Order: sequence, then structure tokens, then C-alpha cells
Amino acid sequence: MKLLRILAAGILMLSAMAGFAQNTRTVSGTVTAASDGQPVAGANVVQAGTRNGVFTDADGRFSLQVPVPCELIVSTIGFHTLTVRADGSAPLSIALEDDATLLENAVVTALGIKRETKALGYAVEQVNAEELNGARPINAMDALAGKVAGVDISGTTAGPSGSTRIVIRGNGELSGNNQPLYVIDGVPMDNSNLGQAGMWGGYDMGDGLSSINPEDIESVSVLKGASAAALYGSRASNGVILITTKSAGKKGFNIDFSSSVDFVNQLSRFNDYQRVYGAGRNGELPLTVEVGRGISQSAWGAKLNKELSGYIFDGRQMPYTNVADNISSFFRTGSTYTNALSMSTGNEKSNLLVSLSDMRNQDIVPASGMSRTSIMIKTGAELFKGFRLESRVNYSVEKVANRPALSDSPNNVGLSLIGLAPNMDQKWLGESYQDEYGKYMDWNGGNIYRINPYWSINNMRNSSVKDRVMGYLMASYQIIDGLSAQLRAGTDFYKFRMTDFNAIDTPIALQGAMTETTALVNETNVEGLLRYDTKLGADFDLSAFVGGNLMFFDSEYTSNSGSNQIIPGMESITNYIDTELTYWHSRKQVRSVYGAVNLGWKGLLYLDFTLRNDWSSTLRKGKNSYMYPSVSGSFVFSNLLQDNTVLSFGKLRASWAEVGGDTDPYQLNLNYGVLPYTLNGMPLGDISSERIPNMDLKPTRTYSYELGLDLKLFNRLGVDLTWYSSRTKDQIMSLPISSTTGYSSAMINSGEISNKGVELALDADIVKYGDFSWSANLNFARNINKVESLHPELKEYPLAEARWAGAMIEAVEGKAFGAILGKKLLRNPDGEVIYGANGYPLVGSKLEVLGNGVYDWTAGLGTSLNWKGISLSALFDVKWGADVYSMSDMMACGNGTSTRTLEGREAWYASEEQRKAANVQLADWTPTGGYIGQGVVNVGTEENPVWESNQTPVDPQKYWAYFQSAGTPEPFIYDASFIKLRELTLSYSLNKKWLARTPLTGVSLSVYGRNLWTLYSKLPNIDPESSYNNGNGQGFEYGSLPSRRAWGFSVRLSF
Amino acid sequence: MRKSIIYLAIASLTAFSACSEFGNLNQDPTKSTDMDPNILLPNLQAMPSNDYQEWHRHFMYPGGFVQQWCGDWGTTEYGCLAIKNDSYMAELWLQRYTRMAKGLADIVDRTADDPSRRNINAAGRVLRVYTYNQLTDLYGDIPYFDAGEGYYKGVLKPAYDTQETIYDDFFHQLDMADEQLRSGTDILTYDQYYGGDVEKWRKYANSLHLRLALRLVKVNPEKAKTEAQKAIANGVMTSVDDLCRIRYENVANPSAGPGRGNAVSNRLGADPHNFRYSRRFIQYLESTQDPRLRILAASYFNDDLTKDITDLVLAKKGSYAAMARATDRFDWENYDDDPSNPDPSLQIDVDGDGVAEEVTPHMQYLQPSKYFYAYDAPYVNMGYAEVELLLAEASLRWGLGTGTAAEHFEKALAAGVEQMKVYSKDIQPDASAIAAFVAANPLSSDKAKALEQINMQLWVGHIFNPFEAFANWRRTGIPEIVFLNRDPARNQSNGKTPRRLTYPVEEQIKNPENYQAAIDRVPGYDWTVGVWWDKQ
Repeated sequence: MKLLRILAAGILMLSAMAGFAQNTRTVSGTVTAASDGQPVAGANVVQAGTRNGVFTDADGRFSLQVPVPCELIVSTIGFHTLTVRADGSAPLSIALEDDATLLENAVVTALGIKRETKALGYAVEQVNAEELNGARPINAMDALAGKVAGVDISGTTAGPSGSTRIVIRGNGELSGNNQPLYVIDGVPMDNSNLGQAGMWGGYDMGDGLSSINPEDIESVSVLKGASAAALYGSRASNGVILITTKSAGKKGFNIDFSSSVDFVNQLSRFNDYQRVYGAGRNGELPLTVEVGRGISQSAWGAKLNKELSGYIFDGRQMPYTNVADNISSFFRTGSTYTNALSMSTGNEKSNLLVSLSDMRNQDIVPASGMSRTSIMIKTGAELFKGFRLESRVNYSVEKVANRPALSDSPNNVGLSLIGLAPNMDQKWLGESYQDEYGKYMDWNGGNIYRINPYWSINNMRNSSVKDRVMGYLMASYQIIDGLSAQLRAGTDFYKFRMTDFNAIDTPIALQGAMTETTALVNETNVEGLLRYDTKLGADFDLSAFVGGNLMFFDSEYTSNSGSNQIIPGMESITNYIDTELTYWHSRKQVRSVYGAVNLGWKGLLYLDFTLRNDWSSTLRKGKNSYMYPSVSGSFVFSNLLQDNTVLSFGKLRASWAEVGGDTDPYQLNLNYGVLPYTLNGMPLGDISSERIPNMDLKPTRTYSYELGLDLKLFNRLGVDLTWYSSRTKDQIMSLPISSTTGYSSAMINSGEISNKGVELALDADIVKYGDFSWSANLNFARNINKVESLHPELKEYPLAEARWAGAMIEAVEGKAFGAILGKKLLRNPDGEVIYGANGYPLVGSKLEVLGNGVYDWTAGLGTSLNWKGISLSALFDVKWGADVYSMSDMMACGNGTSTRTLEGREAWYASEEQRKAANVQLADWTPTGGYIGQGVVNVGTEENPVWESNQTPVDPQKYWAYFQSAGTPEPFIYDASFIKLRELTLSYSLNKKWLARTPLTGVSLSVYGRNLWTLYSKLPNIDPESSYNNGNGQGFEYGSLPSRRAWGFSVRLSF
Repeated sequence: MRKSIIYLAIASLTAFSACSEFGNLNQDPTKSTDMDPNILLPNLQAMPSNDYQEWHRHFMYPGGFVQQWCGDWGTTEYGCLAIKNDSYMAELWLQRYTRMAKGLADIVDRTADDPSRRNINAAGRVLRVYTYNQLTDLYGDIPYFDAGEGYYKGVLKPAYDTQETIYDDFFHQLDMADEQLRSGTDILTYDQYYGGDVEKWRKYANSLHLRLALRLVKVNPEKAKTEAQKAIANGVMTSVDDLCRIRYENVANPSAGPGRGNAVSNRLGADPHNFRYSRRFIQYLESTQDPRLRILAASYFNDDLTKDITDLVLAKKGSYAAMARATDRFDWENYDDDPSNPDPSLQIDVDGDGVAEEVTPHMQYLQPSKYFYAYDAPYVNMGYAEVELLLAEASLRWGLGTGTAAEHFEKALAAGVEQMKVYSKDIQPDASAIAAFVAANPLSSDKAKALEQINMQLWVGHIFNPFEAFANWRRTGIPEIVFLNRDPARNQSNGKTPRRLTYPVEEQIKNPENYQAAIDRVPGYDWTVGVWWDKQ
């Protein structure tokens, strides 16, 4: 390496001496990277002190007319600028040294253009493969959690097969999903959810991200603000996540193989349950078969006593004593096996990469799991001079067995397990979930909405397969120096097929039921781009492009529901007396033209302008065209300071942008349709519009600006500070309206939401000593959201509704998006809860804000220690300041399993003993003890209240059931803040010297863990990250499954 | 070369942009922007009774209030104990308004001035009256004139109309319907009720008119009389064949939402069967020697309904009343109310093979017989027996109608039994049993007693239509209902039977001013306060 450099320098010196006399010659040469000898395309070769210059072509070649001898300045992103002497005598071979610091600072920006961060006037954060894949995530986007400032990532309680919600810089839309646009190698990807759970239950059908093999990712760029994303159009108003896949890089033939295995168990478990009282009601031991049948989910029985036994639901008498892990033993230890192989080869003209991967996961929920097999082929070739073709094809097959049912689904095992008293071993449910004839055995007093979990996992199966092809074909042509054209067509096509089967005798489908669902989704984008790069004089760099895009979206959904099975056990949609067909077809097209101008001056000042116009098929002619500009700039002030040891780098940036947005298809007309079945042979017609259509919708607008400061101090500490503000106006929203209008919502243009915030990212090389280094990075983001206005008449916009106690999540005018509303406990002026004479707290009649489901701030702290080949790194993830209404806790309280329900039991049961001994009816009895709520009673009048502390004892069993019917969620709203150890990785790379005599070029081993430890959480029994869906209404938790923790080992071999 | 590539690029881009379908892309290919109102009709006819959650609406509150049922958890917990649950109270409102209101508005509005569509328009009006009647009777003042008009009138926040003006319009609408049906010529192509028989539609409209007229006996007896007179003059149902019912198919409904089966039957038949008749109900049937007892009720050995053990249990228990239990009991409270009988399980030789088997109290209690669990049991919107009872009352109160009150009552008793046959071809009421039943229950000459007899029969007849049983009780105070208040600490009605349901909480958010105005019109607004016609 060193030798090469000396040699090159020597050659240069010789050639400089050779050509002494000045005359004009054509100087040609090749620019390569010193590190690997690969040609460097697009490098700028300029005669020093002039505007005379060219860019290198795809092979790194250039030729330029210069007076010889002269000096040529060769520069490009990621390399140290080199000055060489040219005398024209022989072709130059110019090897550029990598500039490590600069390379880190080159990021992929909109339309896949790689640019230096110093030239950017907006925030782009990039996460590279190693950071992303250290802990071997199943879903690559989950692995972004805690790594990027201002990016809030949350999964659902469904586990690995579920979807991921990513919100960048706060919620801006009421009706949209607030999720960023995903773009892979310049081609947008469909990330729509095919279904998720709501307040009444359902499955999380996952999203598009799970189709991507994390191993194929080279880097992920997060474009946060509207400025960064302005070129992507309306879908980018919530930010863009750009995924760049790996390419064949090195010369020759390379093989990489990696394999990992991890074991998954429960992070949160049902460990805050009381262990004092057993199954039953009214403090009584279940002494008869009949009573035993109804108390499986009621822990209001007698005190546990190993001398006693009680009846359980199947008529057996079982010991009435504590069973350790009586609930959590239902869940198994899951596992994930991942194997990935990639082969690449390349020469100067073409390259090829083939990557294969296979992932198999078994979830902790018995019988649930997923697998993903994928292949990616990426290739590029120069067909003739200046003309290059490039393509990538990804094919993946993703199979999910038994997606867990969530929320209020009768087969949500989480919900059924909540109420098991400490003496009720879940195993018993497995022993008697069906009778000898295979018929369902009632286990909980006929509550068909809580199905025996063993029946759920054995007889209510579902499976899904997603076949997905994503890819593109791109042709580029260097027309003249500096002017290039490219045409790219990309597609994302998938077929999703799901079978949901309920065996005969399933309580909610006594005659059996089955649903076959198929979704065919396709998004195709065709894009043309004409780009021109030039130098204006010695000081100005100019690059400009114009382009156009055609987007075609098409989604077909077919669902066939069979009911009343004919041949028992035969699982086929043809085996039902009755089938109903549901079909819909959604289509959309967006046509766009756009352009940009980037100006740079002396590496000191940069200015970008962009402009885009979209025409969307979803809006009426005349309102369907919308144009939006952006401007941004940066000032690298550190270039003005000479040899400053403190400030190695300093940049100030600012940007402003506007983005327009359209809506979903078919929102303009009133539509009639027919139901998927007939009744007595007659068609059932209906107005199928559930929203009042609106012909006059106009595009939504988002305006944003941001200011930022990038500093590098002592070459050790990097600081990136951003302040941003955005406003989304004229939102196209489906405003929920009074059901008395006949519709659930109306399509309108209204409302304004603002998000303001700061983001801070620090990275520091704390210690560098010989082979040892310790580095850390910290990111922090605070977003302040406000619903500035909603609608002239309606001031509250419901985002989600809770299954119990009438709680809602709303956007309330003047407040922050995501407020949790519910009826409040009444309080006196001193804030004490007011109780009625009956000993129960009084509940107000109005819905009031009780909390907010959106986190105030998020932070991530990553740190790593490196010594020789050993590296230890950890990532902590902090989210702070949100609230969650835990309906699981409400259930646990109502069922008597929560530790909160212990208070007052003993006293109440003693009082009951006395009452029964005295043979007095409950209504005529004054209890001597029980649960005494902390608060006051009004012994005065309504006008002149006199407060005395509440002394009325009540039955704790009824007290804890009271809130559900009284309709207040207040006692079950918890702080959802948490600190988690998200990732821990210990890896070891073998010294390459040791491998010299083997075919291997690299070996690394690692032990890793994901989601390992919750350091702080106030929520009992449940992981604070337990949403049942990824919709806009976050802040409800219900029937959650335990969260998953994984420990694993991986090995990576390179040949 | 270069040029040709540029031309190619331009040409291909132009080709893409030239696609002319851009403008048409935004029409959903699976939907239409127009529809014959006759296709909307059958769905609207089915909606009040084919949604699985209908049992919440029927039984949780109205059914629980009128003491006809026990066993079922929801009915016992909410209705019998009078505990509020906002979401269950809101269900009728939400389903009827969101699913039905726009369709009803659409049928009526689009055909209002079309002389060639007088019949379908009239059918729409009758359905609309039926639907809003259920709503106003349960909630009081409700959005009516602007309801369902979110699209046509653009009203996003409908005002709450007073029940009085709503009832005035009901009568007006039913009059119009009667008139239009006399002269209409269009064919009701997909009529689920009467197969397009407009004469029967007319009788139904007038019978409904009679039902609504009698609602007003407390608040405005004069108006009640006038409207009853009008209804009778226009012509009400005259035989069991006139009754208004919708047939269903023998297909289980999905566990949420609408289906092809009778939703009420679906839920009664949910596994395990928890609904049991209250002792009070069985006692009354037994005391009147009502042949419907053995048609409506039975005991089965298993939930699969294959072994009817009614007679075997009766033999052990001595009376049907002993085979039922108090109204406010949960099904899991499977001990008898009588503390002297701690283990009421019976040993019965079910198969007649000399081997006794244990029959738990849960299986001893009388439950709906298998005919009413059948998915294809029809749902009766209004029976002929009810019409005769209403006529008997009209005759008793005002001497209206052609026959005497006693004659109408006799017809009603017979019809009440006879009309059971619509539930199954296997139900063939015995003529002599009917005659005996009629003979055993002559209408009392004492007016108060006669009124009680009539309205007790309405209470019995509305066993599967608790909306009507609840409304009729509020109108007449019959049967006398003593609220049992078994759980006073949690009771939310001051120990009284509630007389309405409170408005959905979401109206506070989505329609706040009109909601507030409606509440302000009712002093002490709560569910214990009667609606307008339920004058205390």
C-alpha cells in the first residue's frame, strides 16, 4: 500500500520533470481509490486556478485539454483532495486516499444522491449496517430504535410478526398514518398495513418492512424534515427512510456467510399479581362443581391454603395453593435462527451480488412463529461507453403461523390469562380445553368472549404467506461531460394470503368458520432524471437536475369467509355451507415533475433549491395539481478559521420547505354497494360510503423550517443540534362526526397542527489509547406538538376509542395530539377524591384530559468499548412522559389478580362472616370493614360542602369492578415512561494475520441481546411498549402479551 | 446513438403520461354512484335484527328492566342491577344511526316526488318510523329531521328534536304511507316482509300507527284517541298472515356484525346457553294456562338440545315456576334462591335406561326452546296478536273499533298462540288447547283488571322484543315492576327501574351544543327520568 503510494508519487514527479515546456495537450488518466483500487466515478478533475475541468466516468477515466505542464486538482466526496502534476506524456494513474472523516459524513439523500453532509441545509442521519445489525434484528426498522434522534419507533404486542410504527418529529396528520415513506435504492416501497387490531380485537398483519432482509442493508438514511424530503412529494411529509442495499464492491470473488441463533423469552411477565387469595367469589372457596365452572377468571376466593382444595372448571378438585409461574408458564422459550450467504463478484465493467437469507423464528406464544426466505440479486454493467445498466431484484417469502390475536379478540390468550388466580395453573386449561369428543369445554362460566387459550392456539389457527418482489432497472447515460440522464423503473409487488380457521364448536363460531384473504398490492414508479454538474469559475460548484415520476398504485383485496363447516376437520374454503365474498380494488396514480439546483461556493456556502409539482388521481380535476418548493443552505464557518485546534468543523444550516399532500382514492363521491351475501335470495344494497364524500378537497400543505448547527470539537466530540418547526394546514381529514348524520366521518379540509422541537446528537471518542478505545453517542429529541385548530364547529378529533370505560384518544384543539380522555373521578378543591355515601368514588359526566399517549422526549445512549478485535457495545433507549391506559390492569383489578385488590379483603370477609352470623340481608347491614377508599365525603350541602374523610367500607370485589361500569379509566392510567437496555453486543473479530493461510479473509463472532432489561417502568405486569396497533391513537393497552427478550450468538465468515 | 436514446426516453415518458384513464381512476370499480332504492330496502328491513350485537341492544337494558330474563351475565349485571355502561347504552344509537339512517334518508328523499315510486317511498317511510321510534322511546329527544342527512343536507351536527314533534311526524308519515300505498303502482321487487304485497304493508303501517297512538295515553290521551281512531279507520292487521316478520336463513352469524341468521336467536343459542326465563314470566304463563309455555320454553339435558327433559324435571319439581328463578340471578349462581335447598342438583334417568344422571340446576331451568335458537327463526317486528290487544285496549278506553274489548282480547289470545307457528313448521298449536286458553282467560269486566290482562299479554308477547315490553310498561305501568336492587352499593338508579338510556358519550364531543340543549330540556336529566310520553 505504502509502496504503491511512493511509486505513484515518484511517477508523478518524473512526469512533472519530463514536460517542462508549456503547450496544450490532452491529458488523460484514471482515478482510483487507493484503498481497493476500484475506479472512482464522478471525481472532479480541474486544472488548478481555472474553470477547466471534467468529471471522471464510470470507470474513473477522464481526459482534459490543458496547457502542460500544469497542476490538476482531483476531488470527490469521501476522498482527500489530491493535486497532481500533468505533463501529458503518459496517462495518469491517480489514487485517491480515503478521507475517513469525510466518508462518514457523506450520506444518501433524496433520489439516492450521495452528498456530503456539509453541503446539506437540513438534517439527515445515517445508520450503517454494523450499527443496524449488531443485535441481529428480525425487522430492520425495529433496530433503529434509540439510534436516531427524533425518530420514535414502537412495535406492537404481536411480537416479531407485527408492524412497526415510526414517527419522525411528531404527529402532523390527523387522518393519515404519520408514518414516513420508505424508499429502497431510490424506489418507493409500499408499507401499508394489511390489518391491525382495534378496540374490538384483531390481528396485526404486519407491514412491508418485515419483507426486507436486514443483512441486505448497507445503510439507512433518515430524512427528517420536509426539506430533506421535499423531492419525494406528498408521501414524504412525514419524513423519508432511505434504505440502500449492499452492492458488490471489491474486485474479485467474495463470499460472506453469517449465522446466528437466539433464544427468546419473556421480558415482562405477570409478576405483579397477588399470591394471597385463590379462585372464587366473595371470599369463598369453590365448593361445588357449578361454582368451580364460573371462577376461572375470578381471583376473589378464599385465602390460599395448601390444606384445602377447590373445584375448578372441569369438575376436578385441585389443591388451593399458590402455583409459581401459574400464568407465565403458558409461554415457551422462542428462538430465531438466521443464516445469510452473499456472494459477489466484479470487475471494472460489471459487478454482481447474490444474497440469500433464511430466518426462522418461533415466538414465545406456543404455535406462533414466522419465517422469511429471501434472495437478492443486484447487478450493474457498462454496456458501452457512458451507458450503464443496473438492476436489483429481491424476492422474499414470508410465512407467519398463528399471528396472535390481540386486544378484545376472544382468542387473545393474553386476555384469557389475565384473570387466573394464583392457585389456577394454566396447564389445567390445557388438560381440559375440549372434552373426549373434541367439543369445547366451557371454562369460565359461559363467557364466550374469553376463549380457553389452549382452544385458541389449537383450534383457531391462522397462517399467512407473503410473496414479495421488489426491484428496479436503471439505465444511465453520460451524454456529455457533466450531463447525464437516467431512467429508472422500480416495482414493489406482493401477494399476501391469509387463512384464518375456527374449528367447529369454537364459541364464537359454533358451526365453524374460515376466512381466506388475498391481497395483491403493486406500486410501480417510473422516473426519469436529467442531471448536470459543472464548475462555474474556480469557486462555484453547480449541480442541477430535472426529473419526472409516474407512480401507479394498485391494490386488490379478496376475502372469502366460510361459515358452517360441512365435513368436520377438513380445512378448506370449499367445505362450508355458506361463503361470502368481499372484494375491493384501490387504484391511484400520481404524476410528478421536479427539479433542483445545488450551488456551492468555495466549500463554504451551499444553497439548494427544489421545486416539485404533483398531479394526483385522488383529487378532482382542477384541484389535483399542486406545486411546492424548498430552499436550504449551509455555511461551513470552520473553513474561515485557520488551523483551529478546538473547532475541527463547524457548520450552520437552515432550510424551509413546503410539501403538498393528496388523499386516499374514492373520497369524492357517494357510493352504493351490495353486501357480500344475499338474504333469502335478495340482494342487500347499502350506501357503502361511511364518510361523507367531498368533491372539493384540495391538497394538504405542510410548511416546515429548521436551523441546525454541526460542530466537531478537538476532533473528538461531534455535536449536532437542530431546531425545527412545522405546520400542517388544510388537512384532508376524515373528521369524525356525530353518528346521527348517518356517517361516521366527513371528508374535509381543515385544521392545523404544529410540531416544534429540538434534536441533539452527540458522539464522542472518550478514550483512545493504543488499541483501546471507548466511544459513546447520545441522542435526544424533544417535540412539542399542538393542535392549533381543527374545524370551525368541532374542536375534538377522536383518534381511538378504548374498549372499556369510555376512554378516548383525541386531538383536542389547543392541546397536544394524542390526549387520553375519560371521565374523571370528582375531586374537592384540595384535590382529594370525593366519595359518595355508599363508599364509592364519584365520577364526573364530562370527558376530560387524563393524560397523553405521545412521549414528551426520547433519548438513546450508545456506547462501545474496543480493544484489538474485541468490541463491547450497549444501547439504552429512553422514552419519557407519555401515559398509558392499561385495560389489562383494569381487568386484573376487576378479576382480583392485581396486588391492588388485596387491601380491605380480610376486613370485608370478616364483616361478611358477622353479617351472615347475624342473618341480616346485605342491604340492611352496615359493614364493619372492607376497602375504604382514600378521599373525602361531603357531609354538608352542595352549595356549602363540608369535607370529611371517607370511612365507608365496601366490598373490594365490587369496588374494583366499579370503575368499568362507572366509566372512568382514571385509576388505570399509568406513566408509560421507560428506560430499557435495548441492545448489548460483545463481538470479536479474528486478527486477519491469523487467517493468512486460510481461505478466510475475516471471521467474527458475537454474543448479542435485544430488549434485555427494563431499567425503569411504572406499569405493572405489562411492558410499556405494548400497543395493540400502530395507529395514531397510542396510549391504550389491553390484553397484552408479554414482551420478548432475545439472547443470541452469531458468527460471520468472509472468504 | 445519443440522440436516439434521448428520443426514446422522451417518447416513453410521453407514452406513460398519455394514459387517458387518469380521470376515471378515482371511481371505485366495486361501487356505484346510483342504486335502485328497492335494492336498499331489504338490507334496511334486516338491520334491526341481523346484527350479532343486537342482543346487547335488546336484552342488556330493556330486557333486564322488564324482568323477563335471568341467567345471562350482561342482562343481569346491567339491566337487572341498573348499572350504567356507556358503550352498551350507546349501541342502539350507534348502530341505527350509522348503519340505517343514511339509507332511510336516501330511499325517502330520492323518491319523495316521484309518482312512479310511491310504494317504495311509503315502505321507506314506514321503516323510518319504526327505526326512529325505537330510538326516541329509548333515548327521548333525538336528532330526527336532520338525521342521516349528512350528505344530502350537509348537516354535520343535527339538532335534537323533541319527542313530541317526532311523534307528530310519525303519525304524519304513516298517514302518507297509507295514502301512497293505496295509489302506488310500483313493485317492491325485494321486499323481505311481505314479498311486495302492498296491501299488507298498508295494514302494517296502520298497525304501527295504532301502536304509537297508544303510547300517548299518559301524556296526551286526546291525541292518543284521535290517532288510534285514524289508524283503525285506515285498516290494521286482521289475521296472523298479516304479521310483519322477516325470515332468516339457517346460517350462523359472525360473532360481530350482521349476518344471514336471526341475530337474537344467534345469541340466545351461543354456547353455552345462559339465557333463562324469569320465574315471574313462567309463573304468569303457568297461571294463565298459556299453551305458549311449552312452545317457548324447555329444559334440555345438554346444550346440543337433543334431549328435552322438561317433563322429567317437571315431575321432580312439581311446577314450571319451580323450574325458573328470580330475574336478577347470574347463570353462575347455580344454587337455588331457597337456602333450605342447598344442593338442588337432581338425579334423573334421562335416557330411560334405569341409570340416573346428574342434572344441574342450570340445566333444569327453563330456557328458550330449540325453535328460538334456530338461526332461521324469523324476527317478528309486529304480530297480529299485539294489534288485537291494542284494539282491545282502544275499545276499553274509548269504545273505538268494531268489536268489544272482550272480543278483541279473545282474538288476541288465540292469535298469540297461533302466530307461534311462524317460528317453525314443527310448531302446530293445538286448537283445543287454544280454545281452553281463551276460555280460561275471559277479559275482566273491571276496567283496571282488564287493562292489566291486556297489557300482561303484551308483556308476554314481547318476550323477544324487550324494546316494546319496556315501552309498554312505561306507558301503562303493567306489569308492576318492583326494582329488586340486589346490589344497592353499585346501583346507579337510586333503587328504581330506569326509564330511558342516556345519550352516547361521543355526542358530547361530536355534537356538543345540541347535546347540551337536549339535556337542558330535561330537568334532572338521568336515566330515571321518563321520556316525554312517559309522564310521571
